[in-house]
Amino acid sequence: MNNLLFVNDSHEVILESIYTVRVKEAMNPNPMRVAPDDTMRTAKNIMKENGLTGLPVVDGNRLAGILSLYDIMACYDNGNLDDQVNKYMSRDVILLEEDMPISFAINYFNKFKFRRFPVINKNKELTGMITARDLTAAMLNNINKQLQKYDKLNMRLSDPDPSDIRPDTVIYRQFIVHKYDFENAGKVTSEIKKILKERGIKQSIIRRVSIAAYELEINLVVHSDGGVLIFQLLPDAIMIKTQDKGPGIPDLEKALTDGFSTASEWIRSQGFGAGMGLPNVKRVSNDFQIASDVTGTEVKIKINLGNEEDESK
Amino acid sequence: MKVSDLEALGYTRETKKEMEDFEIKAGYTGDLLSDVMANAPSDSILITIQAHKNTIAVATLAGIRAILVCNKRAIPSDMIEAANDNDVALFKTAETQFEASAKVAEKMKG
Amino acid sequence: MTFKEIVEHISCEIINKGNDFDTAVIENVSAGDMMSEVLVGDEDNRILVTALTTDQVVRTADIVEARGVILINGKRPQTSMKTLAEESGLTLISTKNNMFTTCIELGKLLGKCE
Repeated sequence: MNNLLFVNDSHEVILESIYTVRVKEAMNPNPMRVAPDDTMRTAKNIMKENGLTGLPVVDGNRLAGILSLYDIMACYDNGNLDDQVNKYMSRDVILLEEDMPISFAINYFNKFKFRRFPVINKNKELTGMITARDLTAAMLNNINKQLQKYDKLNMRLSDPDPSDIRPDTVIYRQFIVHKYDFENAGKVTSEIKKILKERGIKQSIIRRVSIAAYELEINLVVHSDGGVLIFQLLPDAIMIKTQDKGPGIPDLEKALTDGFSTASEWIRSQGFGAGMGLPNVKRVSNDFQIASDVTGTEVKIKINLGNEEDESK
Repeated sequence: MKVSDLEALGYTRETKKEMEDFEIKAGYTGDLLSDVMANAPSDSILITIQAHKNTIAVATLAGIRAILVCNKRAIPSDMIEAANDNDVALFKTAETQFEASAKVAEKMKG
Repeated sequence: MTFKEIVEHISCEIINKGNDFDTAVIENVSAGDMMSEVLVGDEDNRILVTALTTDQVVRTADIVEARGVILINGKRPQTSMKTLAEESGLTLISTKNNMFTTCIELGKLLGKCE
């Protein structure tokens, strides 16, 4: 990977754009084209008039090949401009599918030295062409949109409901977790782990609490518009609650199924979104409650401090 | 090692379509699709937990002949469909990527 | 297996020597790039093998008390990952080998393959 336009330690907003913008949104949806039985002269004129270095060759709706400037040059050298396009076009075409994230397109531009790729739909029909320039424009557009949203999200959340605090609470902490904030994701968990270690809580309990806190924290970062994580150490248990500002989980049952995920390619490139988050939280908890609608999601879990026999499954 | 040898290793074949029984010359293990796309050798088997149809697109591009999905991950039907369409043999197992990699490597040595 | 055996057996570079570099006995391997999958396992004394170079790998290793992390394909840790590994006293190794090959080599050391 020596020529990636964007690298893995780019800012989250850029990474998210790479992995969530679809090829469909970036491509030119009405590219100039020729038919296999058009003459090379026609192709040459279209390329010249439109300043193009390549043209898709389309037979009906089906992509038959691609014609480049080199093919036109080859025709000048050893052929006749009245020859048909199908004599010169290359049939071995590297394609992009329109619902792939543009990370695929970036990889294609790096892997192959072509300047444009045809884009096809599920029925293998040509729906567009994409160049590096199209990619850059789509990226900038998306980054601009994301940054506007991002600015709004960095506002402080309102204080949590005091009725959440149990009277016998030994330690109470609340943490604000921002959307996209991968850099700080996991810090809350480290903090909680430290508190529990200082208190001499058993190692096996600390591990379960850490897994739950970490998955919930990651969920706030990657799936929510930001939220709050509340940690309470009680005499007999540990409670963790997260509350976010949306957008809510459309299908709770599915979200609790191993392997089900709505994560984008971006989240997966960060090592998450394998569909194990909430199932992992549930697995380590003695009590697990979740509620969600479009205004937000609330997860409440409890892990008992008692003996290991209490451990859920 | 041939694609069909994977069944002898106890892996469940998810693609039921008749496909050519390709020779597998190399193995590649990983879950980051951009990494797989950049580095996986052709005529290989991909060992992954990435049960997603984009994995098939990457496999097709990289010349991967077979995919082994580990850790009992549920395989969505659109992934099986894409695998059938693109002649990529799709298998699953309860083994971890580590266990499966070691086992496949043994078999490849013959 | 020990870190000493790993370093002798696999061509690699030590990026950070963890607190238990000389004493740790590694019994299990978690190879993969999905951190939640690593959290599912409950084996002790693990080493993680991954292509991911972010802080989240160190945090995950810390939660499951993994002994160390091997980065594959010659990957270098992001600066913040390296710093975090140093702070947490976690061993961090980088190898030019890919994950498949690294699994085979570690499998040999653990006696899981020849």
